[in-house]
Amino acid sequence: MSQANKQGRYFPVVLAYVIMLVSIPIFWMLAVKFSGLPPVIMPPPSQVWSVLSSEWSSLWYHTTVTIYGALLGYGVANLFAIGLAILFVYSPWSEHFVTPWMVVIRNVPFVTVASILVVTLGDTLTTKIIVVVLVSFFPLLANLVKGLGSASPVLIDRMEVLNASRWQVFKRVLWPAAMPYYVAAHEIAFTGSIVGAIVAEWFFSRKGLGFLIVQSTTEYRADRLYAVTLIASVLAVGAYLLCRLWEHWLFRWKRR
Amino acid sequence: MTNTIPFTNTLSALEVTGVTKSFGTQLVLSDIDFCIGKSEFVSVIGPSGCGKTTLLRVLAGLEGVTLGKVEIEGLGIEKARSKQEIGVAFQRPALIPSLTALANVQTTLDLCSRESTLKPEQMLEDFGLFDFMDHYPHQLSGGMQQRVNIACAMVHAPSLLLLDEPFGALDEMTRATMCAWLANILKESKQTTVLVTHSIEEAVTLSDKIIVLSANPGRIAHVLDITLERPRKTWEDDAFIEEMKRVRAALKSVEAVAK
Repeated sequence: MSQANKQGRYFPVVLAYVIMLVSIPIFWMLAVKFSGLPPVIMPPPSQVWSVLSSEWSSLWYHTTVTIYGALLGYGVANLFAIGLAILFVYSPWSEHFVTPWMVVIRNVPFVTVASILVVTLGDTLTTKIIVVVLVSFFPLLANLVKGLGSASPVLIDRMEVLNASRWQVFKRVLWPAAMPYYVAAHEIAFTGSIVGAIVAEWFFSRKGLGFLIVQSTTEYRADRLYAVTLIASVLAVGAYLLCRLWEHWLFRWKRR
Repeated sequence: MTNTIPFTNTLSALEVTGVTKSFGTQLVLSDIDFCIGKSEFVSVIGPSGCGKTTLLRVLAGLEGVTLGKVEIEGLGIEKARSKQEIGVAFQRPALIPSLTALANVQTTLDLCSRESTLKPEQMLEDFGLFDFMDHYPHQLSGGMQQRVNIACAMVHAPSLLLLDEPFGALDEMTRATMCAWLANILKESKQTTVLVTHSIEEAVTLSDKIIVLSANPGRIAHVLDITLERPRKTWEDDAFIEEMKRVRAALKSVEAVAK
């Protein structure tokens, strides 16, 4: 494909994002103007912007706390998901054994689990990590199992005839086959992990963006609430776009 | 002191003795016996459901036998597989989608501990794919994909090449071209080959010997020697058409019994 043609294809995608970014403050200002609500309840963009700049060091500290918790929890979720998916592929009976547990853990409302964890473990990093894992683990596991199972049987046969080891078959056939599914799971779960971390902080923590939300609400600081919302949105959208970029790079051979 | 010829001198490339295969209570292959000499090309044909593919999978070591034994150059099937003496190509190309044609062929060598005098680049060039080495499978036509697939199956110079309807998914004209191409390739490489096919024309064009299986359970009904000179002229040659008729008659007799 020619360079000009490639640029032509990406242009509308980029344009759509630019239009969206420009529209947000416009809609926001219109909403402020026409709702007639006072700035204490609905602050205009300029006021939120000044909060962002004047309280930046505090906001940034709490943001890093949230990012740290989210990344740590997400890492643990990935380790568990990959481990279990591999176990399921190589010993299918284990999937039958583990599935009922998964069904239960998945369907117990995680809000109650979070509360129980706070009571049991207190306001610790472990609690936050468990909440993040609960939120992000299942899409990862489901997609990995499906992806590993999607490997071409003829390709596996070819490897077996060559007496390839299990590890070689996994590395060359199963894992690459699972990649499109794994990447798709990240698009949901990575963003989910940030939301999970915020929710965990919202419940019990004394720091992090979730804590700021609670604090701002009780203090009627709508301007800071809006600032936190902006930061959280940028984080979540950033996480999603990062996944898309990764996907774009990973499957560059498909566009040849 | 006897003066019999040592057994090793008469060693065949593939020896199948009394092979029976059943899945549960269903008998799929019954008492299959045959022998293939080095550099021989043997086709297996038969009505659908006669166990052709199962036979090929047994020869590849992908299915165990219920009874009997398979030996490749005197080695049991597991031993032969562990020494990477077998190459296999199925109807659906077994290519890794994220690797180029060249890297796919190289993958076979990466997995092999055995020495091969064949080079992937040279092989793809001989296969008429010089300009397509850096292409990914999705960029290749069905015929090209299958050529890469066959290159993957024989680049490690296996003692036995197994082909399961490699051209089955291709259109008629590509099929004929590929068939002529394969005849040419194998003439050069002297590769011992077993081909499972539906096509009488393919079998007659390529084979030294054709095994006709009957169905339910799969049994050897006929073994036909094809002694036509190579390279074989296909449709212009009366002798070729006579052979086609002979194979067709054998296949018909088998199907008549089945009905």
